[in-house]
Order: sequence, then C-alpha cells, then structure tokens
Amino acid sequence: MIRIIKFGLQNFWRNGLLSFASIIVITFTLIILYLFVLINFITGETINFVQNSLDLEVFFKADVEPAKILEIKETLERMPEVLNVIYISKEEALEIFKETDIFDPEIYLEEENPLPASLKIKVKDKEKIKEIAEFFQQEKIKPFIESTTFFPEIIERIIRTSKNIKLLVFALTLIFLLISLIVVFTTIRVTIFSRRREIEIMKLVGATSWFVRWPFIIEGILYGISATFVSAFLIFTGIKLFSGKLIEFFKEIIPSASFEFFFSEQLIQILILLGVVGVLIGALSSFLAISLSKYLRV
Amino acid sequence: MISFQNITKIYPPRIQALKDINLDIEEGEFLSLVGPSGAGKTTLLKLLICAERPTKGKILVVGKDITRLHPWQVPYYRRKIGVVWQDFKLIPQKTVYENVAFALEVCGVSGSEIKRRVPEILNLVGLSNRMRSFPQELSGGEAQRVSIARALVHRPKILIADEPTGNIDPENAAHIIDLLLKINKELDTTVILATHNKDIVNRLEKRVVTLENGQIVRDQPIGKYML
Repeated sequence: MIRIIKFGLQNFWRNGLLSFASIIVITFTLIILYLFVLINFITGETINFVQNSLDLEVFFKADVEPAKILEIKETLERMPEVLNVIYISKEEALEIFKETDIFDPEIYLEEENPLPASLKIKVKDKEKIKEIAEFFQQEKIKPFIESTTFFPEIIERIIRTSKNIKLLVFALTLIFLLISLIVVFTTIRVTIFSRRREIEIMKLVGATSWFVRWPFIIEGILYGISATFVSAFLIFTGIKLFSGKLIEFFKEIIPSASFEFFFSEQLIQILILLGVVGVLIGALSSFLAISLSKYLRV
Repeated sequence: MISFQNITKIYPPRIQALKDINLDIEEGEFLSLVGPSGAGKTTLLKLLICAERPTKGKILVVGKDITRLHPWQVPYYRRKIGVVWQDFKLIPQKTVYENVAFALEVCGVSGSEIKRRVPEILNLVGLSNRMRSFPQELSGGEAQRVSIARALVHRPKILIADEPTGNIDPENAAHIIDLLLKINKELDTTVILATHNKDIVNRLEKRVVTLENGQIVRDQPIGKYML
C-alpha cells in the first residue's frame, strides 16, 4: 500500500510540466464552479429581495364602498395562491402617511383625506403574481381599481435574466469540467506511455493489475487535491480583496440579503464541494486513461 | 509437472503458430527448446506464462489447467515461475539491487524480507560486487545474470529462459548456461531453455525438443541440434 502511494507520487513529480497544466486546468474549473455557486446565490437573493420588497398593493378609487373592498378581500383570501390580505382603509393610510418623513402637516391636513383605501396582498409563490394580476383585470373588478403595484413583467424579466446567467455559467462549468477531464486524461496517458516498459516488467514479474493501476489513479487524485488547494488560495485572496466592496455594493441594493454569511460559514462547505469535484475529476479521468490503455492489459 | 495437451494457437486472421502440440516436462528436468525463428518457441513460452491463451488445448502445470485461470489469478501464478528474456527487461533507472528488489516490491513482500533475499540471490549469480551499478554499466552477460537473479528471487519451481544468450558473446553465453545448469541442479528448478544456438545445445547433453512450423518434429532425451 505504501509502495503504491510512493509510485503515485513519483509519477506526479516526474511529469513536471504536464502535472502543472493539469493542476491549472482543474483550478480554473473549480474557480468557475465556485463562481457558479456564487452567482446562483446572488441571483437567488436578488430575486427574493425584489419580490419581497415589491408589495403587492391594490389602490381603490375614492368612491368605492369599504364593503365592496372587503368582499374582494374575501375572494382573494380564497384563492390558493394567496397567503394573506391586509385591508388598509383611507384613515389607516393617512396614519401610515403621517409617520413618514415626507409628511408635512402644513401642506397636507387641510382638505379631506386624499389617500385611497388599499389591499396588501402576500402570495405563497412569487411566480404566481401573474394570476393575481389577472384577477384584477376582470371586468367586474377593474372599474373599482385606481392603480396597482404589480409589475409582473419586471419580476419575470429578472427571473428570466438570472436564469440566463445561471445557464451560461453552468454551461461554462460543464465545458471546463470536460476540458480538465481531457487534460488529466492525456497527462495520465503520457505517464502510462513513458512507463510502459516498467509496467510490462511489473506485470511479468507478477504484480496484480490493481497494483499497477493504483499509482496512476493516485496521480490523478493528487492533481485534484493540488488544484483544490490552489483554487482555495485564489478564492480566499479574491474574497479578501473584493468581499468588503461586494458586500457594501449588495447591501445598498439589497439590504435584506446576508452576504457575510455566504462569504464565511458557507465557504467551508463550498471548498469541500470543490475538493470533492477536483478529486473526482482526477480520479475519473485517470480511471478512463487506465481502462483505455493497451499497455495495462494482462 | 508441465503438460501441454493438444495445444493449437492461431493468431487472427490465419497465422498458425502452433499445431496440436503434446509435450510433458518432468520436475527437475532441463529441457532445450530449439528450432528456427518463427517455429513457435516464443509462442509456446508465452502460453506458459499466460501472456497468450491457446486457441485449443490444455496446459497443466502441477495438475492445474492454467489456460482457465481468471485474469486476477494470473499474477499469482506468474510469481511461481521465473522468466528470463533475450533483452533482459531491466529498468534502466534502477540499480542492480533495485531491479531485483522491484520484483519482490510489486508482489507485496516486506522490506526486511527483501533486504535479506536480494543480496542472497545476487550472491548466487555472482553479482554481489555490482549491486549499486546501473544496467547500462553492465556487460550483456552481467545484465542477463541480473535478470536471472530477478527471475529466481521468488524461488520458482520453473525457470523459463527465452533466448537468454541471444545478445551475449559466446564466452559469457557459456557462463549463463552454466549458471542455468547450476540452478537446475542445486535448486532443483525445472529449466526450459529456448534457443537456436547450436553449440550450447550440443554441449548440454540434455533433453532437446525441436519445433518446426509450429509442430514438434523431434524429442530426444540426450539431444543434438539438428536441422
């Protein structure tokens, strides 16, 4: 067992330049994978934020009776997409308005209350906003409505854009996975070829086929481990340099998201994921190289 | 000890290397396998070390049919036979000592056992003083003795030598043959020697099996090389 690891280490060192290339390519792959996870997280948080912060609010025309509004509220509450509905009467709206900064008693408070009554709606599923928007488009309800804060198009556009970005990064991840598989595969094949005489002798003096193969798998795994360390180092450095600014930047647009959490605790999990992927790339491609090599047949 | 039964080997598409070979080899025997190039000597030896499988027939080694070994059993079988090649098959980056030790290393023999056995076997082949040399620093005769040492280090009951003197000058070749005889006599190892060196065979006065076109044409108890 110790000898197998020793032979694997020797392969690793003696391949110099090719080892280096393999590690670089796996490192790239892992960093892109990291970016994929990061972008997934950021877009997820962004969509969440936008959807949460866009209150769904329906303002009614001034002449609509409160009874009618309550009737609509009840209908809404029976809809499966709706979580709850809050009724804000004209008086309540004024109270809320009085608490805001822009309220100036000298300008307002002269005539009667100009604020409309409204319904605040919370939905279970953000993607179902469209259905609720359609509800208010109905002929029998539409005449009562002054305005709404539904922007299904905007939310849909955000969802669509983020899906596209995710898809792009995902494709990039796959492409790099493939490239690194091919590079490691080639490296291991070169090792096998350069050691074919030794392999032949090993087989002829009675080494088991796994004894001959394991060193190459270990070589591949070592590429994966090294690349994990390199990419971890680069990611840490990157975070040190940019995370402060990034967190500030995102805090400004999306106050609710917890990006610090992402950069600290989850980082360990992500690095473990990267390590597993790196080792898998190495092991899988050397396994393929071994299976396809004619020099390793009995 | 070894019994070839109705062995036929055809290399696809239609090269017939061996035709219905029947051959019994007794324990402790010294057998020379002679014949012109392409007669099937090497094929016969390859079958014996499971490097090739026969198209037809059985090969019994100590009562066991080795043509039916599972691939995973082959390495363990090979540890019981020693093989010496014309081109020595030594690893150039390793010293004499390391080359011999390598055969034990890859089979999982413990380090202390290796340290004990390798000098012992190098002493037997007369190379104690060349342990730290690399193969390219050795003469052909010395290199062949290293490969004999490596073949013997597992203490096999059978030693196969495929043209061991092919790359060696006549004087050293005689020493190699003497060494093989000594191994045959002192270690009671069955030796199978494939060669087309007439002088060697005639000097041996041992059993000679002659192959021609994949068939046994002569089997003499005390043989001469005749063509």
